[in-house]
Order: sequence, then structure tokens, then C-alpha cells
Amino acid sequence: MMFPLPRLFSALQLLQPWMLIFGLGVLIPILIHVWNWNRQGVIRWAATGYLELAMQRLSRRMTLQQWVLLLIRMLIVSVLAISLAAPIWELSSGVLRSQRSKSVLHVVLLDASYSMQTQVNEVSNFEMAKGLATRLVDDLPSDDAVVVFMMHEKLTEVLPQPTADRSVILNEVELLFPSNRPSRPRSCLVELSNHPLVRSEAMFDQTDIHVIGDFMGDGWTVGAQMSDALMAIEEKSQLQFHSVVDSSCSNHFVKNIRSDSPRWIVNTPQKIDVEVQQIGGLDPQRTLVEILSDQKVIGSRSVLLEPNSSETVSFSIEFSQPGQKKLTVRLADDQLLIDNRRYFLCHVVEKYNVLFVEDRYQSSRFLQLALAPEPLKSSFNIRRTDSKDFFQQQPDDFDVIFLDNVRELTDGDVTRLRRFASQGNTVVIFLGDLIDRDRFQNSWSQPDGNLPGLPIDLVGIQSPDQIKIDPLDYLSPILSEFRGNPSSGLTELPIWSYHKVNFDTEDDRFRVDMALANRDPLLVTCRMGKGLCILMTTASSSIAKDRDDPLVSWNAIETSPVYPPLIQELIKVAIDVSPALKFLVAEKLGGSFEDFIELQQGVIRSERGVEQNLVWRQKNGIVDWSADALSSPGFYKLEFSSINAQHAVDLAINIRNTDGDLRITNPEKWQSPVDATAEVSRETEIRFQVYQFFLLGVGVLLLLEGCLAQWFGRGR
Amino acid sequence: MDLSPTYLDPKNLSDLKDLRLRTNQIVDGLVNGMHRSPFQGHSVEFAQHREYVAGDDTRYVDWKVFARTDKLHLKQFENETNFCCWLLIDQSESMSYRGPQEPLSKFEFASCFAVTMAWLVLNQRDAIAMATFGESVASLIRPSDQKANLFQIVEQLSRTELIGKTSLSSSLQEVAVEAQHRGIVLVLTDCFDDFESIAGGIETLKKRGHQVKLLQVLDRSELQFDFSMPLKMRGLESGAEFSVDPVMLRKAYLDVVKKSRDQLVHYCQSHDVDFFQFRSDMNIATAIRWVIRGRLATERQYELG
Repeated sequence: MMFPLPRLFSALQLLQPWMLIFGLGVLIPILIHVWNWNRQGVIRWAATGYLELAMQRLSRRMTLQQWVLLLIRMLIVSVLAISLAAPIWELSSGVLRSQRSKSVLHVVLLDASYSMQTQVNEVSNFEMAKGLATRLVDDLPSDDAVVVFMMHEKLTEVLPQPTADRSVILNEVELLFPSNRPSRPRSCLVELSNHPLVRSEAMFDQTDIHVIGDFMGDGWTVGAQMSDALMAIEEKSQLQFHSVVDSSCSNHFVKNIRSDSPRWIVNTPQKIDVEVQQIGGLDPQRTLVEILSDQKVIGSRSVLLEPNSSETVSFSIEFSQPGQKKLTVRLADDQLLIDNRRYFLCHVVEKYNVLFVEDRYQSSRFLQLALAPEPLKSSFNIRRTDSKDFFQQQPDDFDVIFLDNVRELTDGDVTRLRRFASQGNTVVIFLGDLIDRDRFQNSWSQPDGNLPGLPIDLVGIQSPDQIKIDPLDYLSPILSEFRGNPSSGLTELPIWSYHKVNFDTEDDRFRVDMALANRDPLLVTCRMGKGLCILMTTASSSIAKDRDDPLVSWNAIETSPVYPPLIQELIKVAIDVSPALKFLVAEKLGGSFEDFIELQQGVIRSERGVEQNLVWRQKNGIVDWSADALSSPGFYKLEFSSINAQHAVDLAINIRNTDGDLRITNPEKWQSPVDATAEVSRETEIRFQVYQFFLLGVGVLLLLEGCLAQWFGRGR
Repeated sequence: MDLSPTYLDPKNLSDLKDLRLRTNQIVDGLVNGMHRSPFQGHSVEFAQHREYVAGDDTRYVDWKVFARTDKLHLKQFENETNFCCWLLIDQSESMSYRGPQEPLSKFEFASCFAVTMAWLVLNQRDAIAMATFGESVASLIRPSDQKANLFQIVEQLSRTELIGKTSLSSSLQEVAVEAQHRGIVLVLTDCFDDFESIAGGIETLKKRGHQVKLLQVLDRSELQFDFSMPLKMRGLESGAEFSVDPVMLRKAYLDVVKKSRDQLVHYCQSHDVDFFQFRSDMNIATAIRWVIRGRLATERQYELG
């Protein structure tokens, strides 16, 4: 901390001037003095001679002593009152500058995270920060150099070359606007500390860094990492923080949206739970939560939010037509608008489309029966094919693809299936007697370009004498419905043979849903990109036979009463993976789809019609596309066109709402001086909290009063 | 007449019954007592021998000397006389002061002391006299060795009004005129008078050959000035008012008291006067004992209260 130079008097401002009311306490010693004299008793005294002589001796000294003690006591109360009023000593940087003949670089670092869009009295925090930066630059000595940076998720150079030209600096600052990204202050500060301008001492004798922001959000929470970042900067420069936050602001935002399933069936009510969080504020606030579909309100609820609490609002939505629905959750406007909207896509289907690929005739019929006992009333459209004809199918036409004891698929088919999974769909694989271990591993294990692999080893077929099922405490979402129902028969599934599989247990993509008593996995779920692969290590029914003894089946699980509900739960998990493309603001975009027709144009278009060109690569009927990160939330449409066809995909872009938490960091915990009061930080002076010196003065005065009183004969 | 027990505490009397007030000076007395008389006569104490002359009383022949010398010699004795103890008690208004929570005022203490001393003196068949004074002698009880004097003293003290100021020089001068025979004079006062007046009064008595004992009686608060809160003090005699911060003033006040005492001590030392300073909350018997002990000791003792 820079110490104020005593001979450079500038205004001593008081942050809490109302505390000066305690200065009235300066009257207390006088009142005590007057009260004491007024309540004197009168006594008749004989030794007046002695008294007169004594008073003659002391009359002058006594009066002086009394005055001295009275003045010191009044001073104690006055100084204490001033220290309670939080004095700050303002020194203009120009004054400080005159004390040294050094070259100084000023680094202005503006917080441009989305929380800076918070409006107070119709002025955003970012506008106030720009104003503060402008005044700060104006007040600097004319020959001091300035650079300007912005920070949100990363550090951005605005004016990276030091310049003393005020007009250039101010013009650049004027053109700035906040981003829709959250803040990552620690990494930005670390990046700044490593910036050549800050790191190098060759160019400038001193570097002053002025961080102007709202210091809101978890990113500013002081912890070991943030302290390290601050100390790293302060080793090389002077660090000052200027806050533009208004402590009375509050914010609500959509914290979470939950639905029974991202893929809905027509004419079937679906429940959407919207969790709304309120941060800050002093009183409960009622806000309106609305759901819009294609800009039309299809549901609204009013919710009362207590300060710093969250509430969940439920909606029941039903669609009569299939298709991709663009749904928006909208909250009533508050001080920060950007996080009041949440965009998501919902795929409404007439039925779920499920494809069964089987290499043995009717081997998947039990699966199909379990899935759709009454096909006409079922929510599933079921199609069957085998591995040879699989290539004719369009995976994108389906929601789930079952591979039931499939002997072999071409590498191209496997690639298509991987893409299908990685785009947010599910492939369910039942292993059986027809599985070729080496082929399976070769096809599935290794990643293929951007497509994830299924790194699982088939060790060999196991046929132990006795197999008991271990449901692993029913923790898997597939088995959770069977918890508390031990007589369901799940643990007695009649299984006699299975493929023993190995995989890296440290790989967090894998989850073992069900195992055998000997710990061999029976049901495994593996994340593949945005989708899933669910692997059953045994066959789907007794149709699979032992290779050595065709009379012996691998299992008879279709005979178990738990079989249909187990398959029903499995399909729920399988389709509960959103196929819709979702990205966050500033997240790089990309994806792939099948199209054998040569594409000629690809753009990404916002709802307001703003376009951005896409980059894509088309090879072997697979189109891999990418685009620059988008800066605004909302719905977008990917449009690819060829000579006579178009391919369109909807996108939902949302902000990463970690910055929606407007808890203000406690500046006292920081190692650097932080000024967190909005009014004061509107100025550009450099401030020092000096109340400590006043308290020290109170202590010194108390000591002096005690010593003098003792010396004067008070005899404490 | 009320021989008030406040004046004569039986316990004090019991404590003092064996004590005798003696004078170390040759005093004039009319009755054979225990004090030296300037006149030779028959008394208890042997003085010298002289040769027998026809007609002398043969009862006083010292036969042991005759046995040794074969000559007749008569014993001659010192003529011990009784003495008169004068009790001079200051009755100025300042003597009425009694400090907070003190049992006796200064005058009451002096009165108790005087009555007890009178009893003691009368017990040893000496004469006692008393005078109260302020600016002049206000009352006088002439010397007598009769018990009736004690009663008179008590009665006089009990009806004494404490008014006016003190003038020791004029008062003691008056007493000196009255006290024709040399004796002991105990002056019970708070000494709130000019030093010159005190010295002048004592001087007058000394010239008359009296043995003077100056007994200064002060209240504890007058000696220690241990008030804590600011207060107003109104002079008893002068009526003047003073606003006082006693905590601030205490040190200076004690310096003044000490200086005054030192002055008196120095004067008394140099003028063969016994000086005693008593606190009014002191035990009377102890005070009496101090005074008497002061006589028995070969050195002057200036015992302070």
C-alpha cells in the first residue's frame, strides 16, 4: 500500500460521514465536567487557611492542567468519531507523479463479463466502468503511458501498445462494449502478470494496474489461487481495484431446466421444471416465468423469490404436431437482462424410432416385445434390419439403434454408428455368441478422427457354474426403479454365458450399471461424445447358443418377469439424451452429419438474420462442420445447401451463467487495497483507507491522557 | 449536672488509673503533693543533713549518721507540693468541625481529653483548672483539687457554644494573668490561627514559668484531604466559599499541612514546648498516654496524631 505523504494535503473524504454524529461525544467530557461541578455538595470546612494556601499554590497550574486534560479528552472523542466515519485520503495520481521522476505505465483493465451489463438507474456497470476509466486516464500526468485490456473468460488486448495520446485512448475506450461471457478473473490476472509489458522492467520504471469492474461472481472469490495471482502481479506492479458495483443490486436468472425427456411424443403432456435463482436484494420479489414456443407464450407462472434463494416452477406442455420446437424460458426483466432467457430445443415426435440390427433372424423379437408389447399403441416405431443392409438405413432417422448379437459391421457402418452416438443418440449393444471378439475391438475400440471410440476389451466368453447378479445398490438410472423391490427377480436373471469385458476403470466415461457376483460387468454405459453406448455383455434372449453345445442357451432372460421393465428402463435412459445441438456463448461450434450430395454453401444464421459462414469438410458422405464461437445467446440455424437440397439444423446458444451470481467479493480479504463503494469509485483519485492511523491516534491520546492525569495527581 | 459518659469513658479511666501526670519543672503548690516545690520543708523526699541545734525536733535526727559520726544531724526534706494543671480548650467555630463519618468533632475530642485529664489530675490530688477561649477567654474554672471542679468542667464544656475565631495570643495572655502559680498548661486547639499569635501566646505562658504542652487536634479529613468528588467548601469561621477539585488539590494541600506542622514543631522544639498532634478519631486513653509519656521520656517527643 502506498503511504500518503503528509505534506501533500488533499481532501480528506469520509466514506461514512454520518458516523461523525459520534463526534457529539466531544461534549461528554464537558458535560461530565459541568455535571460534576453542578452536583457538588457543599460542606462546611474548618481548615480554610490550609485550603487557601493550597489553592494559591495551584490555582494557575490546576486550571492549566484541567484545560489540558479536557482538550485531550475532547480530541480523543473527535478522532474516534473521524475514524468511525471511514476516512480516506485522496491523492491525485498527478501529485504522486510529481514526487518521482520515473516513467510510469498505466494498465487499464476493464471487466467485460456479462455481469457488467447490470443496469443501475438505466446505466450499465460497464458504462460506468468506461466513464471511470476515462476520468482516470484524464487525470494521469500527460507523459504517462497507457494500455487498455478487457477481461472476461480471457484477457483481450484493446490498446496493447503504450501510448500517451489521450484522444486515442479515450476513443478506444468509448467503443468498447461488454461481452456475454462469464468472468475468469484469476486466469486473466495470471495472464496479465505474464504479459511482456507488465513483466518487463526495461521499458518503464513503474507499472500501475487499474482493475475496473464489479467483482461479482464466484470467479472473484478469494482463495489460494486468487491470492497467488494477486501476489504475482503485485511483485511487479502496483495494483489498484476500482469497483462500480451498487451494493443494492439483485439478479434473478434461470439456473436449470429439467424435463422428463428432451424428446417428446405428440399429444402427450410433458413436464418442464424451471429452477429460478435470486441473488441479492433485500425483499422478496415476485417475478413472472414464461415459456415460449416459437415466440408464443405457452405457459406462464408467477413465483415469489426470497433474497438469495431459488424456486422451481413446473409447466406441463403438450404439442400436437411433431417437429423441432424452439423453446425459450423467459423471466421478467431485472437489472441484468442477459441471463433472463434460456433457450433450448425440443424434438417432438409422433413416436420414437428404434432400429434393431440383428444377424440372427428374430433374435431381437423379445427385445421388441419388451419395448412395445402392443405395437399399435406403443410410443415406438420399430424397424429391423441386419448388418448387411444396415448401410441402407439413415441413422439420423432413429432415436435409438439396437445391435443385437451382430456378427460384423463394416468399418464404415461402425463409423456411422459412432457419429450417431456422438451427436447425442444412443447405441445399445447386446453381445452374444455371434460376436467376433477381434473384429469388435478393431471396429469400436479406437477413436476415428473426431469420433470417440469404445475402448473396451472382450476377454472371452465365460460360462461359470453359477451366476448371481449384483445390482450395485441400484445406483444406475436404469436400475433405480427396482430399488426396494428385491423380489423383482432382477438378481435371479437366468444367465449362463456372457462376454467378459475389460476397460479402464479410471475412465470416467464408463459406468457399470449391473455386474455379476464375481464382479464381471454385465451392463455397462459409456459416453460417446454427446450420446451413449449401452453394452449388455450377454445376449438379448435364449436364442443365443453356446458355440460348443447348440442346445445350451446363453441365457433365458426373456423368461424373467423383470425382463420387460428392465428393457423399458433401459430405453428410457437411451432416449433421454438430447440430440439437439446445444452450445454456450463463446464455445467453438462444430458437428457432423451425413450427406452424400456435395454441399455448396453453409451458413449459420441468427433469428435476426445475421449470418456467419461455416467451414466444413465433406468426405465419404460425412460432413464435418465448424464455426467461430457466437457471442450472443439465442436460436440459430445451420443451413447447408447443395444444388437441389438444403440441410438445416437448429442450434440453441446460451450464456454460461456462472456470472449470474452477484455476490460481491469481500475486499477486506484481498491483499491489495480494494475500493468497493460505488459512489467513491466513480472518482478517479487514488484512495487510501486511513482510519487505522486515526485509531492509532486515539490510542496514543488515551495513553497520553492517562499519563498526564497520573502526573497531575489524579492517582488512578 | 450530668457527668456524661461521653466525656469519661470507664474503659479509658481503667486504662489510665495508674498513670500520673508529672511535671519536670519546679512548680509552685500550696499543698504537699508529688511535685517539686521551691520551698524546703517536711516532705517525703530527703534533701540534705544539718547539724542539730538545741530545740530542733528530735524526730528528724538521723541516728545512722550519729552512729557513724557521734554527732547529731537532722534530716532536711524537699517540700513536695501539688501543682495545677490548666486545660485551655479552643472553643472557636472551627473546632466544631467533624469530618464525614467521624465519631467526634474536634471540640468533642478536646473535651473528652480534657475531662479525662482532669480526672487523672484530680486523682493524683493535683489541682485542675480550665478555660475555654476563642478570641478571648470565654469561661474560666479556677484551680482546685476538689472533685467538684471536675463536675464544673464537664458542665461548662457541655454548654459551651462554639463561635467566633481563635486568637491564641490574647487568650493565653489572659490565662497567664490568672494562672499565678507555675504549673502545666495543656492547650487544646486546632491551631487555626496566625503562627505569630500562637507563638506569642505560648511565649507569654512560658515567661510565667508554666510548662506548656501544645495539643493540636485535627480531623482526619483535615489531615488527609481524601475527598474524591469536586465540592464546595464553606469556611466555618470566615464563611468564604471555595469550589474545589480535591483530587487536583490534594497534593498541594498536604504540602501546606506538612509545612504548617513543621513550623510548629520547629518552634516548640526551640522553645521547650511539648507539641502533640491528635486526630479526632483517636482513642482518648492513647492520647492521654502520649501526653504523659512525653513527660516521662527524657527527650521531647513530638508525637503526631
